[in-house]
Amino acid sequence: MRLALLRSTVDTLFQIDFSWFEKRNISLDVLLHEQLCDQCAREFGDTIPDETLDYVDPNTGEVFQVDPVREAILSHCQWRPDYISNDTPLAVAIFRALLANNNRPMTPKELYQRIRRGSPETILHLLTRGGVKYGIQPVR
Amino acid sequence: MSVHLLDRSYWENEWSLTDDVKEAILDLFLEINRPMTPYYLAKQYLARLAETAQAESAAVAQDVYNPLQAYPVGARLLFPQLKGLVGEVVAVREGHNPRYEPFKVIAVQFPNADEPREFVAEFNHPALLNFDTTANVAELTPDTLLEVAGDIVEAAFARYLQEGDFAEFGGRYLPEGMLVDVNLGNRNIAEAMIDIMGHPLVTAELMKEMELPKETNKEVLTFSVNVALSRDERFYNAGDEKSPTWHLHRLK
Repeated sequence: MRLALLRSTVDTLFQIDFSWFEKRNISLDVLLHEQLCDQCAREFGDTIPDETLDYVDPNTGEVFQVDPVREAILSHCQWRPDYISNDTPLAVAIFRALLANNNRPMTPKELYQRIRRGSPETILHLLTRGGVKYGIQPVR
Repeated sequence: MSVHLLDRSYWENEWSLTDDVKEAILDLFLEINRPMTPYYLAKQYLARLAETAQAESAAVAQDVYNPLQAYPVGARLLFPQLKGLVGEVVAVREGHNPRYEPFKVIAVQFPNADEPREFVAEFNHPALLNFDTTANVAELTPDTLLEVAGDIVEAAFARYLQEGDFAEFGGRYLPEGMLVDVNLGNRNIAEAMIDIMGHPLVTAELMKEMELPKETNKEVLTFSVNVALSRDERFYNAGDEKSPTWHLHRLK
């Protein structure tokens, strides 16, 4: 994987490897909860229902079964202006952009188009130097 | 025969550059009688294919997936949002999401896909969708065919034109056999003109004096001159490929 990181370019596709969190005993649930907007965070409270919901992709009508927090991010939080703002740390902004894209792979160029921060090269540098951030890795 | 033309998987997996297609390409060059880009050639090819298919059959429409509608198992649907893929509904279930309920979810099997993909149906929230939900059938027209298969055919044609017996200039191609002969004498005149003027000349200016055949299609003739000068080591294009301006290496 280290070689794959080093060989990556601004046209390499990246996505979140959700198993990366489990391998490192990092709570994905807590991290995802932190990406919710204030309104959704309040509505969920401390307990997240243990169920899967059908998320409808507005561009295709395709249905994806996801947990309630990811469904809320996809259907609601990502459309709020403060979901990705100038105050959002760059690595978090990239993580949020991929979550908002239903974790469909994106290149640093596409990530830049979405978050409008730094440059594709800056994003590539962040994703490929100093270890994996938020499980974001090149697509194998 | 015609419905499969609207199925992108047909173009991806079954269609190929057969001898018949190569013959159709040559026929198009002879008929249109001008140099063409791979895209323009693909557009012409698909337009003729659509016309032929329409003439052969009236059944040239395909049900288009519409999230607002109900679909039974067995329905075959065209998905414009998936570049024209056609799939068959293999299961229907209740959807589960308090934001939208009630709605259904259909499982659609696409050719060459390991597992079905799911899509929303009987969905009463069209405003939440970013695509047109009013079209019910896709007519086999040149435009729809170009949308479904244009990029695939263009890429295949580009490879064939690059590798085959075709002349290229400025991204446009013409069969070598259709080039007008621009002989050494013609090219010597062009050289002398540039020599006398002492600066680069556009193709049209050179052609006034090159003593070229008059009865030939002007576009083919201009293309032939550009190809001939680009292949003659004395000349180089001091302009760009869209507006060539010819100069002599020795006058650089």
